[in-house]
Amino acid sequence: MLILENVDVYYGNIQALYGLSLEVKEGEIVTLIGSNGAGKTTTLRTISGLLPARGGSILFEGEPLVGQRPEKIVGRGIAHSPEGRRIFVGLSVRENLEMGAYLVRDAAKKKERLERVFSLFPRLEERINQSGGTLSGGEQQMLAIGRALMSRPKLLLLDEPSLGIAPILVQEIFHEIDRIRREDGTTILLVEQNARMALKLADRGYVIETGRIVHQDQADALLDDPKVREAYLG
Amino acid sequence: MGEFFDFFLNGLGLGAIFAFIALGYTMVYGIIKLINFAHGEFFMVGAYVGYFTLRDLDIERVDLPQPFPIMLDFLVAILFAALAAGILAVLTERLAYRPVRKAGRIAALLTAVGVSLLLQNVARQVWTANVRPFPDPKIFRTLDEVDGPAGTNLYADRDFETSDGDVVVETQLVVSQGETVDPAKRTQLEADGVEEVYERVTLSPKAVQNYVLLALLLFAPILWLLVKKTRMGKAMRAASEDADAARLMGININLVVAATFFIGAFVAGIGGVAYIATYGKVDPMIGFLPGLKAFVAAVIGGIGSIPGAILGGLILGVTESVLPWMLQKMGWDAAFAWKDAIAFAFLIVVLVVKPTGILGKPMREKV
Ligand SMILES: Nc1ncnc2c1ncn2[C@@H]1O[C@H](COP(=O)(O)OP(=O)(O)O)[C@@H](O)[C@H]1O
Ligand SMILES: [Mg+2]
Repeated sequence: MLILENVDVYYGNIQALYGLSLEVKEGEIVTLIGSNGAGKTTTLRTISGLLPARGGSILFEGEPLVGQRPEKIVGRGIAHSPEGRRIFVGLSVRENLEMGAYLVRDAAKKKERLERVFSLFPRLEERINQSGGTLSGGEQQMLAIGRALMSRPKLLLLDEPSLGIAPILVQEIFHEIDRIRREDGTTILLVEQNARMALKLADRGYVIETGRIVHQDQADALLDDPKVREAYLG
Repeated sequence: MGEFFDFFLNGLGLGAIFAFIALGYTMVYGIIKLINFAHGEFFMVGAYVGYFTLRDLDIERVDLPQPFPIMLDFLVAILFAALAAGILAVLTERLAYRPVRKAGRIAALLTAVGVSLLLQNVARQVWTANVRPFPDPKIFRTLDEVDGPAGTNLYADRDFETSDGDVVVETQLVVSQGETVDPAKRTQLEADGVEEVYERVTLSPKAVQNYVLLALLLFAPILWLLVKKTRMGKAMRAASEDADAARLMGININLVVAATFFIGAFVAGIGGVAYIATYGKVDPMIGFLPGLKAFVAAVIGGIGSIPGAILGGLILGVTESVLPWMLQKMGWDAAFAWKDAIAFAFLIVVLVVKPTGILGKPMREKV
């Protein structure tokens, strides 16, 4: 479904990704793990078009993505829940979710998706008219994921959904991520520093270090890999 | 007390003009963090277009009972002024600001100053630097409608041939106030080619001030609904909070920025007509001081906040009107000459007390 091949990305003159290749197949949950500053966020931002790739290719359903604007890429079926949540704090929960369906003109579809998001995250329905800024960190994360789901993506990019959130809520959020794949058939690329949780959820995993993929395997194999255990699961 | 109230209302009228201009400053700043120094010039161009609409189109000619022709005249002038300012803003954004948007805020600011000076100079070339008096609305009458002693001066526009053969239209006083229009006078006028005369309505400053305030009261809720309820308005709010996140929603930022420039300048164009009616003049420099003060108003209100811009404008207008009056009462005769300095001093006081302005949000850290 998504294939990155030899992708190079730079911030100015500083290279952040070095010939990065990875693949996500339809229906999979794939996780990209690595320590802070390894290039995980950069990878997701490149896929969703916020950063330009200077070399290599990105194919989504066989069609190239490189050079397309983010607003076009969402329309192609890729939704991105960014690092740090980035919800609109001045907009209400409902408005935030509506923004997620910005390209959807059909009111019935919007309503149906809104209900789906509420069935995954009932807390959001309770807070529907509150402004995004008044939510707790965990609720904001739910909102960010819910907002991404409003475009009914084929591929969902999740950047560190566990970041800065109480462990109990992390459990809840990971449980819902699993449901999103099982019940909606949404393919997921999950970026995490919390490698243990991510590998338990995912089918396959990639390990990234300083902009390069250094390991890739089935998730349970990575969980058992001594090198991975030592570096990321210690 | 009555006198205080007069100055207070007068201040609200002036403040409404600042508010009309401040809205565009604040909306553009909210979305691309640019202090658009050319905004005052959008206002000035709007004022000129309003001026020419009022002066030349003779919309008052429509066959309706008074005061509807005059109202229609102003409505059309406001619409044209607003559209002209809006279109100019969209072109400016596309041709001057968008190319430097990624080059950093200083580059954008310098570009804005450049555009501001450019527009001032173009206006001076095209429209000359002359201060033009406000074209008072006209009430048209055919010759048979005037009979007996004229209640006011009556004018007619007549064609004259210049020495080099050009035909120019000039306004001529054809009947002075009190002069009797009898059949003889009428025959003489007809012989001169006059078929129609008009009287000029001098607007009372108080009426103008009330209408300007009324215009703000009508327009502010429309703008509020636009930003609060429409898809584009929500996209604007989202983009002003976090442009990258907005793009991830599928929002075309360029379109949102263009729409913001258009709406901001559209509102300034309305303010342009309000200005020429209030101050009774237009010239290429009128964008400068009102533009600067509107910027002050936007900052006082909390830059980026739409209600803040309105509040800031009104507060600044009232301060500029009431404070010098109070200081004069207290014995400072020159207070009114210092009103601009007083306005800027007020800004400094507000910013010391509340650096983000009255309705400004506290600075958010960017992730
Ligand atoms: N906006 C930026 N400008 C310059 N360098 C950046 C920027 N964002 C990230 N980087 C650098 O790129 C590298 C990868 O960062 P990032 O993708 O955010 O890592 P991760 O998400 O894995 O923590 C880091 O070295 C980081 O310092
Ligand atoms: Mg990251």
